[in-house]
Order: sequence, then C-alpha cells, then structure tokens
Amino acid sequence: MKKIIIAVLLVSLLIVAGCATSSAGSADSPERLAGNDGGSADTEGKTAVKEIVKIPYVLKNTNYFSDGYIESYMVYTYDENMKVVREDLFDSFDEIIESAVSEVLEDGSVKRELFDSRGILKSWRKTVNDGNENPIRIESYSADDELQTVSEYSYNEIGGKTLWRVLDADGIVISETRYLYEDGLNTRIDIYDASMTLYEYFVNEYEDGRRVKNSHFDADGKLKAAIEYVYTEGAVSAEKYLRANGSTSRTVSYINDAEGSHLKAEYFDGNGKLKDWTETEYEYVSEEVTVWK
Amino acid sequence: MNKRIFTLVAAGCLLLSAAPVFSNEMSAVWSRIYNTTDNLEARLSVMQNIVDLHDRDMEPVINEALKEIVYSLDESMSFNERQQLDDLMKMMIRELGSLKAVDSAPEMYKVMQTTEDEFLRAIAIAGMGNAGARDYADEIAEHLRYLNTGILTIENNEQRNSVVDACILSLERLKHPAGFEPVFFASIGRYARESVMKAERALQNMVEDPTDLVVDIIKADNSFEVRLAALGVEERSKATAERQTEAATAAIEVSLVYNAVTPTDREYQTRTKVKAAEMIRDLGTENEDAVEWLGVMLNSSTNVNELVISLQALGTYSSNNAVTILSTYLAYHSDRRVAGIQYKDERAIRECINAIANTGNPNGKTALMMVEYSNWSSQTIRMAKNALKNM
Repeated sequence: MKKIIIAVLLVSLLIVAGCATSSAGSADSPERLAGNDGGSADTEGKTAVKEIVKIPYVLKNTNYFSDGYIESYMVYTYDENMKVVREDLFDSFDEIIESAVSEVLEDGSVKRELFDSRGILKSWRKTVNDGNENPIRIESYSADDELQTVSEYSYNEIGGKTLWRVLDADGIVISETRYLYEDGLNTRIDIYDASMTLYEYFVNEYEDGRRVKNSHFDADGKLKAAIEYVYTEGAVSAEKYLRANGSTSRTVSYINDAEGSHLKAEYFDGNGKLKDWTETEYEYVSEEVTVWK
Repeated sequence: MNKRIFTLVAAGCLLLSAAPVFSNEMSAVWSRIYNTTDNLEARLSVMQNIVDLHDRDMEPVINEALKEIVYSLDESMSFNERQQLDDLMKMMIRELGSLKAVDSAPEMYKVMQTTEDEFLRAIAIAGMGNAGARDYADEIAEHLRYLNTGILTIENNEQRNSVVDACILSLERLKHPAGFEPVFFASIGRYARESVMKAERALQNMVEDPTDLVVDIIKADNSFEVRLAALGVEERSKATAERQTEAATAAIEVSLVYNAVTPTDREYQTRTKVKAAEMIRDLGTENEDAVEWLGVMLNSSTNVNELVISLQALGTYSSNNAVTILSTYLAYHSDRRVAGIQYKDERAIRECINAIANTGNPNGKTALMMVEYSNWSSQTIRMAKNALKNM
C-alpha cells in the first residue's frame, strides 16, 4: 500500500508535468496541483504512518515535434517550501508564450495569475486547501476580478476525492461528479448535470491494485471509449486509447526513471506514427508523507 | 448577450454534443459546461480549464468550438464582445496548434484571413505551423511576402513583429520550399533584430538543401547585396559541398555577367565574387563548371583580392582545364615581365605559382620553368623552382 500512496503522489505531480507543453495554466481541479486522485487508498484496518519518501518536482517539461524540433517548453520555479511560484511557457525561440505566477495569500489560499506573452493578466484563480494540502475550493476569476466558476471538492478520510461540484458565479451547481469506491479503489465516476441527472460515467478496472482500464460510458451505458494501461516495474509505461469499436485511436509510451517518474512520453496516432513527444526533468526532494499501513 | 450569440451557443451545444469522447471526467465535465454556458466571459474561463488539461481527446471539442465562432461571427457584436471572442480564439488556436491538430487548419486560416486583431492573426499563423498545415504554406509565405514588400503594412511595431515572427516560425516548421524566399527576404529586411535572427535560424532549418532556391534568388534578383546574402545562406545551410559549389558558381557567373549600377552595389559585386571563390576554394569539390568562370574572374579582374582568391580556388583543381588557365596566366605575365613591364606587387604571380604547384598537374611545369628566365624577383623565382622540385 505504501507504494500505492507514493504512486498516487507521483502521478499527481506528473499530471502537472504532462500539461506543461501547451499552457502555463492548471486546470481547475485538485489533481493538477497536488494531493490525491482518490484512486487507490484504503483505511480499513490500517493506520497512518509518517515516512520519508522522495518526491519528484518537475523542473522543466519540453515538447518536441516528431522530427526532434522543440515546439515549446515549460519551466517551473519553486519557493523554499517547494511550492510552485512561477510557470513560464517558452517557444523554440526562448520567448515567453505565457506565464503563471502563484502566491500564498494571508488566509493560506493560493492565488495563481495567468499572463499572456505581453504580460497582460488573462485570468486568475484562488485555491483553498484543506489541512492535507488537498484543494477544497477553487474560484476562477476573469482579469476584471469577476467570479466565473467555483469548483468544490470533498475527500474521504485518507484524501481520496469523493465529490467535485462546479458552481456558476451565482452559486448554482452546474455539474456534480461523484467518485465511488470499492475495497478502497475508485471504481466508478458518475457525472451529473445541473438537474442532477446522470449524464455519463467512467468505470475503472484494477488488477493487483493497479488501474488497468478506464472506460467511458454515456448515461445509457453505451461504451464511448476506453484507455488501457500497461505497467513496467510498477509504473505506467504505456497507454492505449480505444474507440468504442475496439480500434486504437492513439497510444502513449513512457520511459520512466528508477523512481517511476516519466522522463519521456511519446505520443503516437492510431496508425502507430509518432506525432510528438515530451521530456521532463525533475528535482527529487525527500519529504515526510503519510503512509497507510 | 444578444439574441444572435445565444442562437450560436445553442447551435454549438447541439454540434458539440454529437459524439464527444473524453479520457477523463475533467475533460467531460468542462466540455459539457462550456457547451451549456452562454456567457462569453464564463466560456473564456471554462475554456481555460479545458486547455489546461492538455487532453489530446479534446482536439475535436476545441475544434468544433472554434468552428462555431469562426463561421458564425456577428458583425454587430460590441467591441468588448469581439475582444472576448478574440481572446477565446487565441486560447483555442494555441492549444490546437500544440495538439498538432492539422484538421483545424482551415479554421485557423479563416481566422488569419479575417481577423482585425494582429495578435490573433499571429497566433493563427503560428498555430498552422505547429499543427503542420503544409497545405497553407503558400498562403503564409504570401502573407510574409506582402509584409516584406510593403504591400501589407502594420503600423504598430509590436503587432508587426508579432505577425512577422509568426510567419517565420510557421514557415520554419512547415519546411516548405515556398517559405524560403520570403523568409530569406525577412532575414535581410528592415525588421527588428530579433526577427532577423529568427529568419536566419529558420533558413537553416526549413530546407535541407536550399541550393536551387538560392540560385533562383542569385539569378533573379538584381541587387548584389541580396545575392551576397543568399550566398551566405547557402554557406550556412546543410547542403552538400557539391551543391554549395553550384550556388557559388552561379554567384560568380552573375557577378561577371551583370554590371553593378551604384558604387555600393559594385562593392557588393566584388564581395560576391570573392565570397563565391572562397567557397569554391574551401569546399574543394573540383566542380568543373566553376573553372571557366574562375578563369574569367582571373583574367578580367584588377583587384588583387579577387586575383588571389580566384588563383587559390583554381589551385584546388587537378584538371587540365584549371592548370591551363593558371599556366596561361603565369606565362602571359612572364612574357610581359620579359618585355620590361614592371610589377610593383608580385603577390598574384606567387599565388599563381602556388596554385599550379597545388594542382599537382605536370602540364603546369612549362609555365613554372619560364619564371626563372623572366626577370621576376629572386623570391618569386625561388618559389617556382621549389614548386617544380615538388611536382
């Protein structure tokens, strides 16, 4: 289980890396920042133990075209507490495409401002975390400080996400996502619309505690697509994206370091042709984390 | 929100809800919210969430959203609404480019053609490049050509640099020969230094072998400054030595055939000849096509730099043609020396002796032997004797 918790942390950080190629932004969701994907923890008969583990912090993420030419790269800057304070996206001429600047406010929330290449503020977000650094509320604002959407999150006792609710500026719920668990594993994700009618859902399948398949269904239970995961030495080494008819729409292949962090991700189309790839550089920092044993 | 926009949003909802497929719940949720949101500012915020996911399965969703805007623009929109739509399109196009969404190229091109926001135009142009939209290389090249020639003007420096840089970046990415010429002229144009540097880099990356394109410029343009610059591009390119020699030969040819009009251009004419001969010398490919023009350059020039370089270049050949030109030159001047013509500077004669020696061709011996009996300085005669000894 220790490995699973660590893997969850690694995955959370890698998601940040994975989005670095196109935008300095982070999606309005907790997975993008830190914390837990709520996928594989179990508290039954287990106790929390503090352990020192090596946490990978993404320093740079570079996106290459298939011919090896750099499309863009993201550089992450951290403060002394290893909190991201800047994310700068550059083009191949080393010129800034956009930047995100984060700061911790007096109330402990994090303000993250997104600027374009000319330094003009485009939008900003305020993230409120719980005691375990899991985001519980993310407010998205326009550059004119007008509230646009709010995301609210709930977690179970070990940090597994159980609810994600999106509200509009008037506080009306416009979407609700419920995370269901079986034996501590997140097996199903149900998405409801504003009228609380099931709109679509995802089903996760596991083998030996690892998610091996994620299937996407419409409200009537009709399969729309699926993703199959392949593991090598405990880390995801490949993903296969399948259409409803079972044919492959695209694949991703990962080269991982000894810690299981993705060093290189190659993206192929459905015919196996390389489209582009990303390379990620990390700094590992030993930190005390809670492990359930 | 006027009625027209609301109608578009409703139409978009129907369009987007056709068959979206998402790799995770975040993509699914934000896509649905985008499609059910009728407020432009809120849509901007939601699209930011979608873009931040950088989910490749979102490509059709973003593309459909872009189509909805591009093909349904309402001219009666307020300035503020228009600006928000432009911001929305910038976000979408940048992401689509990053996702290498070549299927979105027609919409990006439409934006490039129709927008009044030069920054958005720049993003659309760059987006087509990133997406690999080679079908639009001609159109992007033409846009840059119009900017180069002043047919299109953008008064604001920042906006102009943005569009020029986007054209250069895009044409560099598309690696299409159509882009070479306008990028070349951007590299010698009156743009910001940063843009010039980008163009120079692009020229090295966009075409593996630019020789034919460089030769076209050398032959078609009537400015020796431009010809010299084109030759420099060829020299820095990845073209083979043989191909670079072809371009250098063409440069010597036009430098000898065409006259420069202004004193400045005459200076560039000389520099073009010298540069071309230097390239032939340094590349050492023994391309026989160049021999004739090097001979013409040798026999028509009075500039000692031109003479020395052409002699050195001919010295890299071992062919009878080359050694005949060299021998004839040496013999001619030896005869003149015998006839009592004074030479204040024997540099060219000594360079010719070296060149004949370098050819290693025994056909040059007779001319070398003549040197001893032609009243040249002792140092020149000693050089000729040494050359004969080594041949």
